[in-house]
Amino acid sequence: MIMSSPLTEGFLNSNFTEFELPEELSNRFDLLERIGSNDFSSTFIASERDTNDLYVLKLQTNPDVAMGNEALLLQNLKHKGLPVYENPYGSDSTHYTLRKYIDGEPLDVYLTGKNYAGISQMIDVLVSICDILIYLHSQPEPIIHRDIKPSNIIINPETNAAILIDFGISRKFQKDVKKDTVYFGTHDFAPPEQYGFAQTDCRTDIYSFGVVIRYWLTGTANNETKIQDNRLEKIASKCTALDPKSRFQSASSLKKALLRYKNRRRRAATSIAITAVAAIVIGLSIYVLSNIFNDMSFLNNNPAATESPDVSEPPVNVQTPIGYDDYEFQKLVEFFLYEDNFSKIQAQFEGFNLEIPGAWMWDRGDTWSDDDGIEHHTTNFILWNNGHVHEIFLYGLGLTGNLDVSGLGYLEILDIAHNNLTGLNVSGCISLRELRVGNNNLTSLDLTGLPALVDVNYYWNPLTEPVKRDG
Amino acid sequence: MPRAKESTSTLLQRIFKTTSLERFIKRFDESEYDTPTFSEYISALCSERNALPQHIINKADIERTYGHQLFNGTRTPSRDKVLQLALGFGLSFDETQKLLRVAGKSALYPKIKRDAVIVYALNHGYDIVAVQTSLFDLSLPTLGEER
Repeated sequence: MIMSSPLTEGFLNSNFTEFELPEELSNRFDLLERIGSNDFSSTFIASERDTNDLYVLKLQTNPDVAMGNEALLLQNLKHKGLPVYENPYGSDSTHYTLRKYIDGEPLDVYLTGKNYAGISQMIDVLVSICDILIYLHSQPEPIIHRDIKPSNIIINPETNAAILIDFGISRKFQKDVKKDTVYFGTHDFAPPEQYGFAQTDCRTDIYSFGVVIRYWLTGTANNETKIQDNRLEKIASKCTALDPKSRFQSASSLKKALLRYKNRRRRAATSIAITAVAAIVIGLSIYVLSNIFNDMSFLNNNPAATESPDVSEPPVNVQTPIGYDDYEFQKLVEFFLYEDNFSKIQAQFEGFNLEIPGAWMWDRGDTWSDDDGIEHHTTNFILWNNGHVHEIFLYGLGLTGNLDVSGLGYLEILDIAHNNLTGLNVSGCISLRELRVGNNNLTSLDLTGLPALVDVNYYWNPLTEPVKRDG
Repeated sequence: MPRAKESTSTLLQRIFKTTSLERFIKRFDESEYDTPTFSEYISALCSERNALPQHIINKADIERTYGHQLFNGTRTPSRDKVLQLALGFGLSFDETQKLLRVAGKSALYPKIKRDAVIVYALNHGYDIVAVQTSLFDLSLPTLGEER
């Protein structure tokens, strides 16, 4: 090598000692930065020379945790919210785990940035973390992360997707062990049992999750600081109950609580609008009901266009089930409001096989009990006014197939996250402001020609091409 | 907060001597912000040094529009861009560590060859061109290289 530059020569003559790596790693990677270290581990970002791909390289020297734990634990797991590990390297004293670098920011950094997420995105992120925990906890030998904290949750700012990292102190739950033998964790985020009072189980992760919620909303992990929103405060403090028995007993019940919260919040925001259309809905459904009994054949027919329902004056000339005779609504042959406030309507339609063309089906949502033991249904609804669809919420319903809402020029909010949709057509939705399609099976997404769109997330979709957007 | 970060900040407290910048940060500590934002910090650095952002951006070899976005806070920098700015400002090693901290990036670690070259350059007053040349000579990724 020819050393021409004075800096290079000066540097090479300085007493530089490089961090020592096994040859197989030092031949393959350049270390770029050390992103973390403590008494028994150092974590680096490394660049693979041949590909320029970034990796995270972690070496551990503590014999209690350094069993190549992280990689071994995760090597048989596959989830979009988990990092992909290579087989661990290492000797008896030091272990190296290697995974691909995940593009994104740790939650603590993300929250200090400009791209602060609104409550609704926050719930989406939290729900996606719940999904990861559900997966981990449902393994034959449940895997307890044991170190859930903002810096271990990586958020992709483009998509709001969450990925859980750092399984350095995770372990498999062993049925017959009363206590953990090694105590690790991060103060503030670790529950009492992690200090040796009992064996850690999945409720340990629930505890830390609760602290994350508090941290997100108050900026501190201290549970003396109350979250302003009562319902979220309730959820967070239930997560962090000292006695594991008083916490949410599973990540899935926690997830349900979060979805419930989101739906209630949405309902509150739209209740005025709903009240406005409720009269029409009820009026129409009574009309429809009489039609149903008179003539069931409409279920097979395309709705004939008639005049739009008017807010002030309940229509009498509606020939279709729920009066969506606006041309923009023609793609939907029928729908119903699935909302506990309208349980009457829901009951009336029960027993009909509700299908929407384009081959997607829905189930009946999620039934849950509130704190007083009263049963409710997941609130998913389609809000329309003056014959125009304004909001569609079909969240977590297991929808499959393609959803075509193209041409719904008044549609402002479309929330179809947590389904299994394989296609989405939103072309011509010129009023669309918020779009949430996270956790579906979309392979492509075309968001061109949507001038009003300001709030979008599409995390956790197996996209095979970049999302198309204007500008 | 992770343990690692606690120990980093303890270390930083030990390393850093009090400067007017320290007082600057302190002022922010006392106000509603925990720390100044990166854009506030580099803008303050500019006024302290009587330098124009445009000038610093040039010396950091950062694309003009991108550079201004860093100064007005519409973009958050990568670690490499922070290091480029440090070279553009002609900061010392300590000041660079501080700048990295404000940007929420990991500190320079002298046992990593690439970082060590930058540390050496900062200590000896080399500019961005010298650093990039040297990194290239040593077959290391240059600053701001597309990843």
